[in-house]
Amino acid sequence: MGYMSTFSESDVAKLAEVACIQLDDEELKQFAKDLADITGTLTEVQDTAASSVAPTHRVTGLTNVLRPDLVTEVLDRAELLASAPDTLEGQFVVPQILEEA
Amino acid sequence: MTWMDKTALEMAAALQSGEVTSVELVEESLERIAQLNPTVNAFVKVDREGALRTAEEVDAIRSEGGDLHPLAGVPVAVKDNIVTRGLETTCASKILEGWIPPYDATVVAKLKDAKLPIVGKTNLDEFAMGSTTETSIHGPTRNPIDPQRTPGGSSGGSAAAVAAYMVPFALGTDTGGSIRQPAAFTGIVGVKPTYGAVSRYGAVALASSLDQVGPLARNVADAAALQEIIGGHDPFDSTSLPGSSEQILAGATNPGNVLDGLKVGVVEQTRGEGYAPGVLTAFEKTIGALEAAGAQVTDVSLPSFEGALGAYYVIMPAEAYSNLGRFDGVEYGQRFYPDGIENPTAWQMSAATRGKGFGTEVKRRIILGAHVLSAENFKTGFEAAEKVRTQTVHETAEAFEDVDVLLTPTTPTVAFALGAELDPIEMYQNDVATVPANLIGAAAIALPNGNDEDGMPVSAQIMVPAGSDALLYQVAAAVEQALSGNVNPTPFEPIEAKGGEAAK
Repeated sequence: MGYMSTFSESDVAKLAEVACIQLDDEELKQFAKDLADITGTLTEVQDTAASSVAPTHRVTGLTNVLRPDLVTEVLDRAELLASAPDTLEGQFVVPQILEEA
Repeated sequence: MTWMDKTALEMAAALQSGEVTSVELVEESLERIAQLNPTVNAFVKVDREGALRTAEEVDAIRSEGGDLHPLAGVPVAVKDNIVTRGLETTCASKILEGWIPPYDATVVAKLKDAKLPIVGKTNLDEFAMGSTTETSIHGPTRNPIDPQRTPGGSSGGSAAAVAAYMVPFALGTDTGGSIRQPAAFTGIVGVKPTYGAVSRYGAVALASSLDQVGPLARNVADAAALQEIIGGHDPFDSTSLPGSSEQILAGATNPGNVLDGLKVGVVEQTRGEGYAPGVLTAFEKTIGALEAAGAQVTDVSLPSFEGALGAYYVIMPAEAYSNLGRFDGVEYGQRFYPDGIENPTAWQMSAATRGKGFGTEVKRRIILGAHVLSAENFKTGFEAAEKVRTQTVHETAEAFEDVDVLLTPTTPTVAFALGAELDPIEMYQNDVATVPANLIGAAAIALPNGNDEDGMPVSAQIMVPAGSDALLYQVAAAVEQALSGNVNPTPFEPIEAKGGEAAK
């Protein structure tokens, strides 16, 4: 499957939706161009997809690092809530999660 | 005012002998910052109270004959993407303006345990994404060598703070070269430790498999001393490893004959076309100095270094897309609402927060990351990049069977003008020599090795296998000594000595 090296504004809009970022029309246009340009330089990476070599996820060789299930340090609750945009009775307040039908 | 011209280790010795107090050192640092920061803009926040409190504590303990870390009382600066409890941390982003972290990064906790006064937070590209410190909401930082030029990025503030003698050393972060490139552009030493050598807990994540916190200083020994303080295994960072940051200062202060018989591999792919003449001339002289000291210098071909930049610009945005998902206006940071919607949902609020709170470069990289991780593009995107990563790991491992260290110029060019507005692809080329070390987890150092025809610093990079940080510092210290005839170890005057006439 070929690598996308042309991007339409609607391609960018779909990615922005997934990434939860509101972009304006100028940004959609700019990023369509930028992404086309950038991904156009990545053909060497694309070609490596055919290689049978295993992908590297991490370089340390560590996996599943565990610790004892014990409570140690805890952060201060009041300090945590103090940096929140909106709180009520010790809880974070957010706008409605579900849209009205 | 002379103490800020000294090295960190000289300051430490003077503190121990009683020649100077920590309060005096901090006051000098603060005065230097007050003089120069309006022009240089290295610091985005100065913590006069906090720094003096630590300094007073150190002086009191010392006068009572109590135990202190050898570097206690020496001022230090911290990049503003490393969290400091109770002290605003912005990552140079609108989305975190005014955010007061409720915890200290592990590296900050270690500085505090050792009682080094933290004089302030330094400027960076927004969320460490950039090579010029121009994407910061705090305005750009200027290169102290030539204030019309960039100090590089993303740790431009830390580099400028050290290069302008505001502090003897500072912390930065390096994901694709963000410590080493600004070190190269400002003529100082910058180190990316072995991946895992220093805890990333509290260093706001850009790319979790690539990021490392590391030291910037004006000489190799000071950098080693700082890495010893901040490094080590951390239960709060499950990717951290013990060992690499221990016992590294000794080799840096006494490198001995390490260059005699040392096998040095000069990487063919990061030399030649695209590299400025001034960079290459100094690089050749460095090779000459190594050979004169008895090193066996050979050429090494690492073709995977050519694909490495592309792989980096797939892996890093993908990991950034994942990591920056946490900035959603819910629990901390700024919250923005969309215009023209009466009862926005939480999702719409988050989208507006991120749209208004993130800068252009950040948004560009997040979108790119979403793209290379998407189902249709995963195989030729993220997964393919991880295969390139494997090839780079294997190739360098093979090379390290024949050579002890690899040598490259740190950057293709010297510092360029502020406002140069390179397009993304030109900008990304800055990282071509530095990203391989991040991809493979190796330790690497940027070492000043001369100046170009305009007097701008140039730099050489030494790389060692992951885990060999002690060797890195030892070799770098020996090269630093070998070059001290070619290059003034403090190869510039602070800009105030240039008549104080900084940028227009």
